[in-house]
Amino acid sequence: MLVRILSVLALIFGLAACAGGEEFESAGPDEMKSGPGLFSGEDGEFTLKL
Amino acid sequence: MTKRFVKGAHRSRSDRTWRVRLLAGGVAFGALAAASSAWAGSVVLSEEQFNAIMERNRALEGRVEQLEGQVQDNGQNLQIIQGQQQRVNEQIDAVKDEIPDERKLTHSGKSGVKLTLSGQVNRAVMFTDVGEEDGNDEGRNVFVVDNDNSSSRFKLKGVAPLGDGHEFGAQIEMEVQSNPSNEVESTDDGDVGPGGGSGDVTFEERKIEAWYKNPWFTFWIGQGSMASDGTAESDLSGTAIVGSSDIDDIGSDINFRLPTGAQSAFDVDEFFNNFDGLGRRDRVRLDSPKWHGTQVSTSYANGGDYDIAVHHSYKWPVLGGLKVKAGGSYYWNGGTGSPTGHFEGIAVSASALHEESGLNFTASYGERWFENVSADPNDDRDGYYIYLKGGLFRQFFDIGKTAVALEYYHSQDLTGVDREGHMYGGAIVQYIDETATEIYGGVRLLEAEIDGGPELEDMLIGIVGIRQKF
Repeated sequence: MLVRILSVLALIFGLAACAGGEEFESAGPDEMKSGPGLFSGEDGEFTLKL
Repeated sequence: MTKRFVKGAHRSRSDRTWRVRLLAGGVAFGALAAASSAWAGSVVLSEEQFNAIMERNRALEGRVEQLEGQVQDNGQNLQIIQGQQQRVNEQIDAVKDEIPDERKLTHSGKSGVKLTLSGQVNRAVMFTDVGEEDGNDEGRNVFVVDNDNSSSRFKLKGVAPLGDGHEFGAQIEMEVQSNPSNEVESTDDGDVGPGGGSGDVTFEERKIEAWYKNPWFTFWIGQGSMASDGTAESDLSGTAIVGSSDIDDIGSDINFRLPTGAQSAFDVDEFFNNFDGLGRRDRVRLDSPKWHGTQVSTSYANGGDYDIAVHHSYKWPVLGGLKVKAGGSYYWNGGTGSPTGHFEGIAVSASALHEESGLNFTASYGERWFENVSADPNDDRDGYYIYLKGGLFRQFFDIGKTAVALEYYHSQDLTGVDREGHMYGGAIVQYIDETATEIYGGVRLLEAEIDGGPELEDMLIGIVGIRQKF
């Protein structure tokens, strides 16, 4: 059953991908969303470069 | 003899002649005047005047040629300036990472290696109404909580790119919750935790992991998401912070009441859960590269638990833009963390968002198979749930997008015993782009049934809160 489910999903996603388009990043509900922060600015992170 | 002169009576020849001349002169003057009017636009110039004008004309022509030349020169100069500007911009782009920024704490030497700090606070007021009164207890409570749908936290993340797609990285993400929304109980008078007050804060790990990435795979080690984590929670509705498939993130430990008003032994998480794979564990994990938004992952955790999953996120520029996020997994749990011993299961979810209209639809399904539920070695059972949500996620106000949604959930025998749950809910989130703020509210009606058990009162849970990213 697992193999069937994964195969069907892979087939659907693969066919859909052939129609053009692009990937996007989307955080899960319990993750911090990407993007700006109140103090950290556009990238939403304070950066310490080494 | 007097010669009488009578006017008009005697006109001499000379008089008539004068009159004729006068008349002719008038006619001639009129003709001359008419002719003068007809030739009013014509000017008769002398040769000197004509030559002067021609000389002036030639001078003006020379001046026009001179101005045309200047215009051409200016155009060439503009092109030169634009080229110089472009070179300056390229130089700025090349060195801008080296320029100290007020948000970049410090800087030196090696390019690309960086450590980032990020975090958020997510606080809310939660209302519960568990039904019948019990003496002076009206069955209603108000809690100030940390919304466990996306808890307050901070994260330190270090990345060291090695070139050619190779990268080392590590991160520590800690959850800092005071009065978590999934831990408050009906009987709590104060804050959750020993003694309440300021001693109730939890400080727990979410992720403590390192990874190595190359063009062919990414390898993870440490506490973090198993491959199946999130496969039940694909959600593009914009309301997941208050209305996700993981129902028991809000009010998990609130007990249902009996018709008598007495508190039952059954709380929310026994009827409402989303079987989101194996969650976060201490594990090793392997991810494939993404191919058109599709990635295959597998992981292995302490206790011999393992899983395999597919994650997908892709958008097509058709019909006003269509985004799809989906996931599916199979997982096997040897007993660690399970209340009933060994179980295995599947989780599948998908969410689609039409970007132009904001219409969206989300569905999630999970099923688990439990072994050795009781002392009977043949007592194997299964449970499942289904979650559906439809909504609108678009810009109504200048400050940011608004998301609204209606949701429904049904579960059967989640813990392997005969229980049933239904949930009907609604959620709204207002995004404020300028301050990276989300203000949200939601309400849910929970119905629980126990086959052969006591009747339980319905429960109403509401929540209003704010998530602020640093």
